[in-house]
Amino acid sequence: MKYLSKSAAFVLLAAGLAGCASNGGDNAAAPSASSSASAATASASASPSASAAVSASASPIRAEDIRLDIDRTSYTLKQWKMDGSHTTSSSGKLLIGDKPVAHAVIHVGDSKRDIATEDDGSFDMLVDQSLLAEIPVRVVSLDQATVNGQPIGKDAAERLLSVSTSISVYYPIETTKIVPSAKDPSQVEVHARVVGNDGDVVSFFQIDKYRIGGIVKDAEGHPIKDAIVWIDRDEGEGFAKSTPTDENGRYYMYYLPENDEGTNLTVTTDNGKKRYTLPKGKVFYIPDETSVDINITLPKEGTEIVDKPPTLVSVTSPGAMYTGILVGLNVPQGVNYTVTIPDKEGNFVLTVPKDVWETHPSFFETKMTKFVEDRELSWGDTLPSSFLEPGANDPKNISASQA
Amino acid sequence: MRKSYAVIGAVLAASLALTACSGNNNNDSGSSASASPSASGSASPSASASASASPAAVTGTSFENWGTYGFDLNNTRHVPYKEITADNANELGVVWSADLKTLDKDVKNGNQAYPVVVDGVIYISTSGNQVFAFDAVTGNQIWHWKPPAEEAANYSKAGIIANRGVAVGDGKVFMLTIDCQLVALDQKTGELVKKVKLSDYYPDVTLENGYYETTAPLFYNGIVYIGSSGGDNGVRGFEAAFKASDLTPAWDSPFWTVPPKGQDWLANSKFQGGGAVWNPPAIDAETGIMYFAVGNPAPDFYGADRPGANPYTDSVVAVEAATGKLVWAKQEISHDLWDYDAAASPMILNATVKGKKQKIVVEGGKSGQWFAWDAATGDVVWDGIPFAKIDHPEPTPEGVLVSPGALGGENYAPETYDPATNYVLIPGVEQPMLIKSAKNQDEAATPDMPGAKAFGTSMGETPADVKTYGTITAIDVNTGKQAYQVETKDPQRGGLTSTDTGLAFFGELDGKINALDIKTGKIVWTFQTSGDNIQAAPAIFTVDGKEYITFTSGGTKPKVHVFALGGDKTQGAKGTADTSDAHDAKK
Repeated sequence: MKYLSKSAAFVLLAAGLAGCASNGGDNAAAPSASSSASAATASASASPSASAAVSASASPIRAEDIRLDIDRTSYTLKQWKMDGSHTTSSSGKLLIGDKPVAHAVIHVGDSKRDIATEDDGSFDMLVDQSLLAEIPVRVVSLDQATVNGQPIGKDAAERLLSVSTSISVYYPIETTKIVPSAKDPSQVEVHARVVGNDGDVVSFFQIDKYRIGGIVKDAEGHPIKDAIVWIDRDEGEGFAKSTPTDENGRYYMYYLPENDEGTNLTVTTDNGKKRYTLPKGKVFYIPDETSVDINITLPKEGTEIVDKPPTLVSVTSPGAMYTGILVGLNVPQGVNYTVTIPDKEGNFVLTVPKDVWETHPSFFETKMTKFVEDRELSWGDTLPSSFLEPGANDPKNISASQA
Repeated sequence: MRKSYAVIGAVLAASLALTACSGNNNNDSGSSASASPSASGSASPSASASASASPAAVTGTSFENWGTYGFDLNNTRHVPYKEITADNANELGVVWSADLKTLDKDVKNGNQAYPVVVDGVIYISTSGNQVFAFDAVTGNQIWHWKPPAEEAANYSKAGIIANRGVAVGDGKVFMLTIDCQLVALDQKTGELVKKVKLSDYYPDVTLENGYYETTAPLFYNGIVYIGSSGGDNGVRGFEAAFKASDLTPAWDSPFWTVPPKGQDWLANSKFQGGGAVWNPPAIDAETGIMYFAVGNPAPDFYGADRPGANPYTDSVVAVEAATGKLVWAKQEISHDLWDYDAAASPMILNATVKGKKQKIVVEGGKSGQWFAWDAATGDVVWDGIPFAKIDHPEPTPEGVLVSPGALGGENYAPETYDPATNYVLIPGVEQPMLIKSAKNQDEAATPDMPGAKAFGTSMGETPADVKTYGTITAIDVNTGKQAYQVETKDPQRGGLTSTDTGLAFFGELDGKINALDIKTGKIVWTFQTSGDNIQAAPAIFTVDGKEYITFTSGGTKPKVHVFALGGDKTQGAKGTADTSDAHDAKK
């Protein structure tokens, strides 16, 4: 846990500040004076001792005075536990210099839950440690906010509203060995490991679902557009729905059949008004562990699909939907590298241009779900960097330690 | 938008003004101008009148509401009204009914909507996600909302299109659509205020991934609480909270009911864990704790790759309503192999238990067992009291007959609680099923093309020929023992609603509506409605002091009905029960 330092996020103020600075000279004596409303409420003279330091001091508030401190900004990904211990309370504090900002509203991540700061500027939030994440924390409203009991001046408010920090949940990464690539001396092989807590399965890259696809045609053999293929379990509850067929009659859906179980097959057309089914009492068997193509020709009359070739043709097809945790490197655009799928112990190997590695790029981790048609993937297989793309909420700023 | 904003403001002001006169208001519909039902026992009708917040076109001046899914946030489904009694129930008749397909031809079959009634307006949803607002007394349609045609087309493709109702609060009417959107309509006008895709915030929550929505949302304290269906499609179940004001998330994250795939008991599973929360929670407004029931693990009949108890599937989970933080969780069925969801909404009771007053949470599972826990601690009070035939060996590839079948036990249909007798009434299903753990895959596969395996269809299993019926079981909460059990011709799929005169009203699949004397278990009134397949429980409310009963019926002629003393006693033609199979059950 040593890498988890208590850190304060001093915020780099954004471009918006240039504008503030330009009229800063005029307002040097009372930054908020230009706005009559806020000048009145944040008037320096009303309470010289308290508010002077906040919004009416002789010098404008400096960027580094604005502090959105989080008691912990990085967490080791921890497995889901029945007792809920993977959900952790975390706290933070909003300050201007050493003065707490009370009654400000904070938002955490995608949640729009209003978290109000207390009188001492503190606030609490919940962090789900079982999912990879980069969770932004930001100030969204200062309407009720006060410092030393005084409303916030306009200048300070603008700066507070542009502040943000983030909390990351990820598996720590350790490098174990860095060696020149045997194949290409301009490249290095970085041997590294994704580190989880004892007993945790940190790598579970595996097949998530198989694809059921195919073509739907009418009795004349013309592809039908906007048909939907539905499968539902004959003896249990559960179903999958295809994409609407395209102009070539092609549909897709992703499904994991349960141990070769009977499935009802339905095709709907005309916005669901017409439903075609298998003959009464018949069910479809979707084989395990393979993607399949089911090509269906609808009958000219009636709604019963004739369940034999050529009107119902079913063959296995390549490809599967994979899911799991992959590790990537933040490199400049145009730089290519390769990385292996972490094995059961979390070990993986990056092969990256030596000069890029020497710039100490940070890592990202992502839980990726992707359909791969042209090859079968397993632990240790090598992926090109083009395969990997971190999502918006994936942890992207991970520094590796040396084992 | 500006107009609707003004309306919301007015409604909020009205409800604020009322806080003083209904301190124990736990029917927190927010928009309700009238006193809460819980307060109405003492509040006179005149106290609840508030002309300013009542829609101008609505009949009546004083109202006692059915403001939320389960009447109150505790889900007791017990109203304090005394006008309708065992002695005069024969005077009940139809005040009005409406054929929903006549009102809009795009209404779909198979209605399961639980009405909500606020200030003389009945709000119902339909299969296919339309919403109607009716004048409760006259049946006048006040407004009607239907989803955009291109989206509705998408729902009807879904095949599963039932919806169990709306939530009303904050001047809005909330509904979840089959394709996982949350809709907010203006309560007065029915105009769309906002509509969000759940996947905007939780990207996996899509119909394509197997999630779908049938549940009524629940409104409390400015937040709309939602779960989802899809446990058997291998989704990761959740309960989530959205702000009523702008439909943005109100918790830091959803409460996920099972681990992420790859962790804990799903470390080696091919499947996501299931555990869908497909009915509304109960909320204790005194403590801020909410309670929801979690569905079965996936895959349902095959447990080898999901070792252990599989928390929190088949469980009741208590979390802080404001944050979603876990308080406690109790499991009904450990390592379920039979599709025994904890499906129906839990109830919070202030009941006499073992001679002492205690606040407890109760829930009846599809397992045919009924449970009670201490509301604060989750300590077991009554542990799995049977209310159905129970015989469920482990599934084998050859198949075993299990009781209850995959429909329950108690399905989504809610219980009611009668404080006078201290009885909980449980709607039950007796429908054993043949289930199999796995099949021989070789018999289905026929070698064909080189490099590929071809395969096809074969005959499906014939369901076992077994007797199917329903039950209503009265449990004495004090002793944890059955007081009696009533058999009904068809499975109980709608649920029950009770009154202070000791009556419990419930519908049946053949379209009959009945009143049961709670003390004795005798049916004291039965009426064949003009609809069939009543698959939702009644809501009971008053307008100008008169007591009304409303409910929906489904099947192929979905309707809404309103009954009261002195109504038309002409009965309908005998209805047909739709004893549909497992897939239909979770509509």
